[in-house]
Amino acid sequence: MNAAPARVDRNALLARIDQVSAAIGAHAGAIELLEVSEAGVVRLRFIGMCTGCLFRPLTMMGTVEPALLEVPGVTAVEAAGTRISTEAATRMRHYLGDAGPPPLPAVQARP
Amino acid sequence: MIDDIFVFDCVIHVYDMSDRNTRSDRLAQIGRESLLKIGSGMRWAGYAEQDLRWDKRWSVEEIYEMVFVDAPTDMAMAQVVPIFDWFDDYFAPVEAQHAMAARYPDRVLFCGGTDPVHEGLDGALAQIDLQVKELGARSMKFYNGHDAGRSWRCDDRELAYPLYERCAENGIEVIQFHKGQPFGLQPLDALSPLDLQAPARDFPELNFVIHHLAMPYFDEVASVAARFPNVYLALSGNLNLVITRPRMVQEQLGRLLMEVGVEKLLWGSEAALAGGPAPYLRAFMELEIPEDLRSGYGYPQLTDSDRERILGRNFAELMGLDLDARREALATVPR
Repeated sequence: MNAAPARVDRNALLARIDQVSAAIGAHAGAIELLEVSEAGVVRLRFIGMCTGCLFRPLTMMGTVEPALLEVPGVTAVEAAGTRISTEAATRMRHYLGDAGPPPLPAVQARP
Repeated sequence: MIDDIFVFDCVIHVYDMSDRNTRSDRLAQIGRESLLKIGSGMRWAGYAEQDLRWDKRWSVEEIYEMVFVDAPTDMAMAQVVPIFDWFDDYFAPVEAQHAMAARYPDRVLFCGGTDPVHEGLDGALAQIDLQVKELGARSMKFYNGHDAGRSWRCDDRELAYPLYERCAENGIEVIQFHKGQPFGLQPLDALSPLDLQAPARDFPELNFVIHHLAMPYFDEVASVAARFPNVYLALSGNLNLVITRPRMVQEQLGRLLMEVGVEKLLWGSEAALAGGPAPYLRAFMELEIPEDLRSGYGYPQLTDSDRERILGRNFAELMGLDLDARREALATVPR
C-alpha cells in the first residue's frame, strides 16, 4: 500500500512559484497558483507573455514541473496549455536529457 | 447518461423556420436556405431525412423527444437565437425557448436573447430585465453579425458594453455569442471572435462562451480561449462533424486539449437543426486522437475524464450547478 502524500507546505510552494516566476520573467511571463489537491496535485495558470505561448509544454516540463516537484508533498503539476501526448513527452525528455535543466536554488519559505 | 457520463447539452434551439415566421424577400429566402444547408451538413446522414421537415416551427414536445428520449441527454439549455434578419420573431424565439424550460424544468434551462440594433439599446436592456426577472433566463445569447449593414461589434462601448453591464446587474454571469459560421449573405468579418477580447478583459466577472469554434476563425478562437481565463468554447455542432469529417474534428479537438485545456470545452448538439444528438454522442465516446497526431503534433489522447468534462461537468460548473446532485435528483424523473 502506498503511503499518503505529505501535506504540501503552502508557503514553501508559493516561495518556489515565486522563484520559478522570476526565472520565467526573463520572457515576461509567470505562473500563479490555482489550487493544490489533497493528493498533492498542483494546478497552475500561466500569465503574462506565457499566456497562449506555444512553448508552454517545454517550459512546464523543463522548468516548472521539476522545480515544483521538489517541494515536499507535490505529486503532480498541471496547467492549461501544457498537456501533450505521451509521444511528445518522451521525445522532450530525450532532448532535455536525463539530468534535466540546472537546478533552481533550494526552497525557502517566504519571510 | 451515456456510459455513466452525465450529458448536459449547452445548446438546443426550439427554432421556427416556418413560412409564417420567414419573410418573403430574397435575402430572407437565401438566409433560410443557408440555415437549412448548414443544418443538413451537420446532420447524421439518414436521420429520418425523408420523414422530417426542417423548415418549420418545432414544438417543445418534438424537441424533448429528440433530445431526451431518443438520446441519452440529461439536461440541456434552450437558447434564443436573435437572428432578426429574415424572421419576424427571431430564428429561435424567446417564447419558444422559455416554453421548453417551463415545460421541462428539471431538465432544461432557459437562455434568453436580444439584439441592440433590432430592438434598440433601450429595448434590448429592457428585454434583459424582462427575460431574467420574469422568464428566469440563466444566460443571454447574442448574435452580432447581420446582413444589410446591421452588424455590431462586441467591443462597442456604447452599444455592447451596456448589455454586459445589465446582464451583470441581473446576476447573469454567462454571456454567449454565435461566432463564425455566417448564414446567408451575412458578413464573415463581423463574426470574427477577436472583438470579444476587450469585453473578456474589461468584464472579468463575466464568462463568455463562443460557439461553433468561430469557424473559419479557428486559429483566432483557440488563441482567445487560451489567453483569456473567462472565455469558453462551445463545440456546438462541431463534434457532429466527427461522422463525416473525423480527421478535421480530431485535429481541432487535439489542439484544443493541448492549447486551451479540456475545462473550457462544452458539448452542444444544435438540436433540432443538426438532428437528434444520439449518434454524435456515441461517435464522440468512440473518438480517439490518432497516433500520427499525437506524435506529429503532440496532441494528447482524449480520455474518459475528458469526455466526462466535455459532455457535462464543465457546463454544470460554469452554470453553478452541482452535477452530482443533479444526477441524483434526475434519477427519479421519468423521461
